[in-house]
Amino acid sequence: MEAEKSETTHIVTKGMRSPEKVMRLARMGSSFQTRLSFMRSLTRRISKEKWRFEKLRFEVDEKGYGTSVYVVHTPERTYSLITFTNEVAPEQRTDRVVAEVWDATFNLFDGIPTEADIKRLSANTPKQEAGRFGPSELVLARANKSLRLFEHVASRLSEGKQPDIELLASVGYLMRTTAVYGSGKFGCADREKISNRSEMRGSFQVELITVYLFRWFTIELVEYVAKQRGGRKAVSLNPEISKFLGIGNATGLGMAPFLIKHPVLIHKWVLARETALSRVVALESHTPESLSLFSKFMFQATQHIAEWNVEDEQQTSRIIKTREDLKQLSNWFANEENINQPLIWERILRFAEANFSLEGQELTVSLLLESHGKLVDELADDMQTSTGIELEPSMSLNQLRELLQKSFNWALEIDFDDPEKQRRFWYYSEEKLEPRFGDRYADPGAEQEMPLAVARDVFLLNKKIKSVSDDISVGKFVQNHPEFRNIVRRVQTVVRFPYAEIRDNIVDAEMRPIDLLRFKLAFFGASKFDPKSELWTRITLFQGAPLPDQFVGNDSDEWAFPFCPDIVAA
Amino acid sequence: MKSPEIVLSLNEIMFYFTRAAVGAGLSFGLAEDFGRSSIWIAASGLDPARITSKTLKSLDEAQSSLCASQTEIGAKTVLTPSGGKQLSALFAGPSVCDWILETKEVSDKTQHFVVEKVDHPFLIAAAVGALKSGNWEICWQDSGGTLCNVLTGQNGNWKTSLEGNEIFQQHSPSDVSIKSAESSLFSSKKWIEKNTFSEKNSQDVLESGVPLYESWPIIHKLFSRCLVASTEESHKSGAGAGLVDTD
Repeated sequence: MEAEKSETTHIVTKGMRSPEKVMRLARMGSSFQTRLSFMRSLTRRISKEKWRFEKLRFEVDEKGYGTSVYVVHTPERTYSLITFTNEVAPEQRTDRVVAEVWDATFNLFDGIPTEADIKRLSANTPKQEAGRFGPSELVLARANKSLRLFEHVASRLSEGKQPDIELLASVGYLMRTTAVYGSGKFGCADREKISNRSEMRGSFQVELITVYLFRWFTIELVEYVAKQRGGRKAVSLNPEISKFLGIGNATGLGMAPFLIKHPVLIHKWVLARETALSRVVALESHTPESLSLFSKFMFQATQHIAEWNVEDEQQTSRIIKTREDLKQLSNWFANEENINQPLIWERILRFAEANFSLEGQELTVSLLLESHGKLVDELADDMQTSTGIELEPSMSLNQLRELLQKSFNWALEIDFDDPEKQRRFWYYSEEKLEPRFGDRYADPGAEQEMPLAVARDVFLLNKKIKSVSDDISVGKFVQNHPEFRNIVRRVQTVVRFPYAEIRDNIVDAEMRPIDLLRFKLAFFGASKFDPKSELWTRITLFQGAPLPDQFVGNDSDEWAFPFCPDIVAA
Repeated sequence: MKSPEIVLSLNEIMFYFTRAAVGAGLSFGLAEDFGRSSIWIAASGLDPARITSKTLKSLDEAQSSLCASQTEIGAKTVLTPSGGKQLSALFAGPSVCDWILETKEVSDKTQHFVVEKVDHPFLIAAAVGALKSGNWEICWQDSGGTLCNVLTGQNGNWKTSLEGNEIFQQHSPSDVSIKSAESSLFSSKKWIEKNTFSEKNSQDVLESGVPLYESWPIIHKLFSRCLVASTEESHKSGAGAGLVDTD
């Protein structure tokens, strides 16, 4: 145990932000993408390894309905996006897991599919959760059109015109995914099958390769539909507009349990980001290049945030405050006295912490990392783990009690005798296994609660061990009280990983699941968070990222904080 | 050859089997251990539903117990079921694993563990195998009095004296002995001809999935108990994403 304790101490004393500060829901729910986000590491890899892209099949009718196969060749392997598009009646359109039809359904296939594979998938992929898949399918997903933008773009292009840039900026994508399933879901390949492949190093790479290919497909699809309508008169999208089109995503509660179930992985993600930040703020001096980059990204972020408009009132006021924070930052940076002193990056962080909202602070963290790629990018290689959650039965109960006091004080301070502190519960609905968030005192099903209430379970464990003799082992304790086996195993594991645990009560009456979603989506690299309630959000993925034919030069990694291209519709 | 009821990924095995055990009455912590045992069985190319469903039913129907007392007599540790019932392997397996992890820190390799009257002896071997903690020999007598053995090795490899369908037929309560084995035993004359499962089985499963046959509905039925019936209210307010999307 001594080595584990010293690892914790070591991390905290390195000048990193503390877990108590970082792992709170309010701050997690203010996260922004960074250079270490998974989309960013994917596009860096595509560029560095010169992946080749190929349209292998595009058999669709004049309305864009049919079958397509888009392929990516990495240095060692080939992956194929197989997409089925079809017509959907307006009344059947929903973002929910419980939907049954979609504009596009697709798989990422391991290799190049045969005709038999495509035939088999054509009978399953459109059914999504009701279909069955095999280990040759790495991902299963679906998407719906943004009807207003898809139709507008198709119509304008068919007339030989570019789309209205303001409308395009207000949506940001032609299609929006509503689920992207990997890791063995519905019979697809287990993560273990691909985890040792170099191109899959890092988190969620296979899912993001799928989304990246699908984004390319949506742009080609709208251009094709326009061509069918307009014939010779039709034009293609301006490349800068194409680049500005991302892929939308509607994310609900399904993501939330993942964060609780994978504490060591979450630690690795946050540790990488906080290590990166500590490296930047530790720099005593700065270079003209880093100043110039910071200035450039601050400008991009200002433009980007100016174009970030949502209906949600709470998020709107947060965006307005972030815009003010950015203005303050810009003023601070414009003052030569500030930039001519050492430790500029640390002083920027301290200035943000003293003056900005949580969103403003987290945006500043993102900017600090953005301008120091050479210093931080390699940390993206260590954002995965194979460490499981294991029981240490030989530990004494007294040691376990000390661990609780030392590392779970935040949980023990919550009064779970107050019914409001555990009003909410998480469960799987029998309807397509949709994860739902219930009210323990009003809704049925609390007895089927998912075991996600870590703080409450720690509270109950602490209460129980107070009534048990100190001199028995943990093994003996969990044999006598198997209902605590799960939480004991977790406590013993996560004490070695300070950023593993969300230091808040996720069953509190006031808990906002949206904070969990934003935290995870920011690590994906998402932008333009558009909360629709406390339970779900829309986002944009890959907006501004180079398309397959745009990976040229060193600027392929400088697509953070995209903003509307300065193009007037022809 | 008959078609499987379903072919699952290993991730789905963990998901469904863990919750099936909860549905049968196990706490989530023990159920996770059962999920890991089920993955070990599946990764060996065997049908985990066929092997485990009777054990889950025994627990569900209260024929097996989750209560036991553990005593130490010299180098021997004995786990005895309480109340005269047979002991559920779903409880005994994790107890054996905990004992193994504690024993690893003790230099006395003569120590051994005996579980009395286990409802499904092979599941003790599955729990030990899933632990991937070196070489252990697990022995019991089947209903006909034949001595059955499983030997776990490094990297998830294992051997057994059971042949063909015998693995699926180990449903008679029996006393099970677990003791440390020398690593050389794995390649010894005694074990050389025995039925062997290796890392290759696991790779094959990753390439083809896990076929489950006639016992799958039992697992699924128990799993379904962990789901909450959907109401109109929970359909509307309990989940994220918009019910209508015409954006």
